[in-house]
Amino acid sequence: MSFLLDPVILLLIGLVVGKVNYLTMIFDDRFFTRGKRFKFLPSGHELFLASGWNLFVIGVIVTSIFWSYSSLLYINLIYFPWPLPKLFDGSDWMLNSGLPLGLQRSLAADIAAVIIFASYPFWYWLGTRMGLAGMKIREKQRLKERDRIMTEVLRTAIPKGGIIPLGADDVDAIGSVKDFLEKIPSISSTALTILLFVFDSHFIVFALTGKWKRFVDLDGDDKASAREKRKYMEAWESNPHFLSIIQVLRLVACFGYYTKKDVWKYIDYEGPLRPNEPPWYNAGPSCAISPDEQTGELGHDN
Amino acid sequence: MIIEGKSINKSKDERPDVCIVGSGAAGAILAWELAERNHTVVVLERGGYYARNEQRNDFTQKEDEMIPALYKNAGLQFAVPAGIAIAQGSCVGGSTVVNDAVCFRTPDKVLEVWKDEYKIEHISSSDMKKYFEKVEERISVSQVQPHEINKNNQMLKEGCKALNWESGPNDRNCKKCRQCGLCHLGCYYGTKQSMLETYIHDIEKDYENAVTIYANCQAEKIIVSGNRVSGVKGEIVGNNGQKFMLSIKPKVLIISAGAISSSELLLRNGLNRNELVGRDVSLHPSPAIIGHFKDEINGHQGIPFAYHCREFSILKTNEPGYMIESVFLPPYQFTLSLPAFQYEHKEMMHNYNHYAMAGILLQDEPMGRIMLGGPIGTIINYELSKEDSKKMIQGMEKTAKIFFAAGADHVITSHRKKTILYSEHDFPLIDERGVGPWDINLGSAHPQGGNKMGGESSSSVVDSYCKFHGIENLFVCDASVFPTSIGVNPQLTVMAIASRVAEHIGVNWDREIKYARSP
Repeated sequence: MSFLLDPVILLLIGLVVGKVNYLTMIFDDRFFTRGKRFKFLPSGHELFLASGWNLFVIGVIVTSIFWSYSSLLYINLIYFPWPLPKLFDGSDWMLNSGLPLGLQRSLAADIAAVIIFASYPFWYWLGTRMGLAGMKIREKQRLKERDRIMTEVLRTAIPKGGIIPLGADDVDAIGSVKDFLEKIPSISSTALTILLFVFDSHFIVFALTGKWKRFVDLDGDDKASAREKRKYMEAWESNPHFLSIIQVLRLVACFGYYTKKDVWKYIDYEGPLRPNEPPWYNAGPSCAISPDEQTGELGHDN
Repeated sequence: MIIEGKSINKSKDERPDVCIVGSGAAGAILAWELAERNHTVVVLERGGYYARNEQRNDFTQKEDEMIPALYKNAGLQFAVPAGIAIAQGSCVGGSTVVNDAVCFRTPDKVLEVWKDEYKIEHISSSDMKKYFEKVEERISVSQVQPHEINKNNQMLKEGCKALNWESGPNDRNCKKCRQCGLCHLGCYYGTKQSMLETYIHDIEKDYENAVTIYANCQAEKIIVSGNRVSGVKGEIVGNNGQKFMLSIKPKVLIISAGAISSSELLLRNGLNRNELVGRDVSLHPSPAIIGHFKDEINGHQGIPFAYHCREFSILKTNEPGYMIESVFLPPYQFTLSLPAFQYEHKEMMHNYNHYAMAGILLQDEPMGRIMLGGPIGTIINYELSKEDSKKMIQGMEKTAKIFFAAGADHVITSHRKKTILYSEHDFPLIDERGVGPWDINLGSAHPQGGNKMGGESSSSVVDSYCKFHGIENLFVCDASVFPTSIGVNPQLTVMAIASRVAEHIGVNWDREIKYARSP
């Protein structure tokens, strides 16, 4: 190893460890608890992963290896790349990295070496942060985009006007849908996100409408009419296979819309009745069953 | 004692006599009956605890709150490629909390088949009678009274009467039902005698120290040593999603997680007896038929499911067929049965109070299979057989006929493509549209099979008393042990079988203990 390469390598190792850690947590439920063949981490591993202790432990191991190997190289106790055939003296490799830099050991070089050695944990740590942060940003962007597509789907599936004048926007249907997506299992949420991205994709829009646009960009400046979006949705409905798929989106849209109090008055639904008894509750006569209805046999009167 | 995940802040160990996975129709009864026989019990329930007592009533009657809370996967569980939406409760009390409280005993013919073809011991109607009577009394089963039949149910009744088809009011486990129509969202009034109001209520009252129910706790690992289970590991979800481990060393383990989850748990742990675990699953797939009437029906006002037509069911014909059952749903769930999008869908929903609804409960062949799908989770593979497809089409025609006989001006089927019938002349449309995976929206609330019971160890997963073949202290007890579909709502059958298994374990406890003793 060398002073020019060690920080970069440590940063890259940290990056990979950070990304793997993040993916492990994201896909934990899918890879590590389903079936024996996928379960190669012991029970309770998720606590370990979530705590970040694994990053620390791996960091200690990796940094210790780098410290040990590089310091032995620097004091010239081993050559590079020991134990393979020798290419460079250890000290020369650490200082010049195979380049014609002409650096040699001196007091100043030793002090600089100690400082660089001391910085090794920092480079590893920076790498892990980059690995985790990069994924987080992507996840955040993905969710933002999903919500944008979902909002347009809701607006199109449940437009303003018609016999029930309220549209999805008027009752914050998207708010309910977002809450719902938080509550469903991650695998269902992921599947729905993929479906939304497919529905929105240039390729499918082009195949069904001949326009090279995303679903959310259909209608251009004429957003209010949503004419193109509605036509696109109708194109999905006209194909039996696509229809089955798009019904999942309708299911979610209806959840956001028909669970809203403002909509209920248009369909004469009273909504929750608690804590009162329903106004239509019929306690019945004191004699529970009339003689002409009595059959003597459970579940049979005709 | 019920312990919710949110009150857990460290991993725990338990050493009960019995560990039960699941607190539904089977799990709750097993827990209570075994506690009554002086055994200590730990119950693991994956879902949450929604209470209805003096301190709190968690049943808000709101679809957007109760569906994600009470249903497995927030109601998003589908069989593929058929696309059947499978509704199962996932909470303390299981599906008994969200079902329609309908009670049918297992048809005699079904028990006869189980006895003769599957060689199950002591399963005849006369053998089962005492268990049915016991649970019926305990959950207050009684017949729906005439004043409880609302107009939605009345339409089915009138149609059947006009056609002279055998029909009748249902038996339900309900006391002084308030007829709010929201059975599927849990019972706010506590009149539905679900496990919460009966067995679990009594466990809390009488066996607080003997029985511990862990809510929000999923069984993950079954540790098998030789021919016995030596431990179970569960994962409890605490506050903010923090997870803790629950390690249990029971003398006997009973899996009552419901059809699908029980097979899933066994498969995940490599317990695939005879390669039969997860196979031969039935669903009672059900299309909805909606009749539109000029007069207001107000189907949501009253007991959703109070009446049935048995003319074409095993109860009358002694052959697998289908029941036609009235049903109604709150708005969101109702929309799932309607076709169309956009303005057209709104127009249809605007007629919500003019609709009567009925479902067809098809006694299907066991065509399904539960498989582990690795990264994509559990797969429920299911397709209707040709014979079942024919029966389903026939059932849809008969149901439409009932609504026309009752005065409907048109009938809407649950085909994905909008299908409206204005008279019997339009019936060929039903066949034309088909009932294939891409053709129709089907629902199921009765998954059965996957760990079938049988007298012969080579062709079944569990024996006549639900003991897992080859493992001495492991039982599976829920609808997953049904060798065939039963053709009627299954909760009473599950309960009676659970009572029978509890008695068997109690009577043979010493033998079970002997097998379960640590080496």
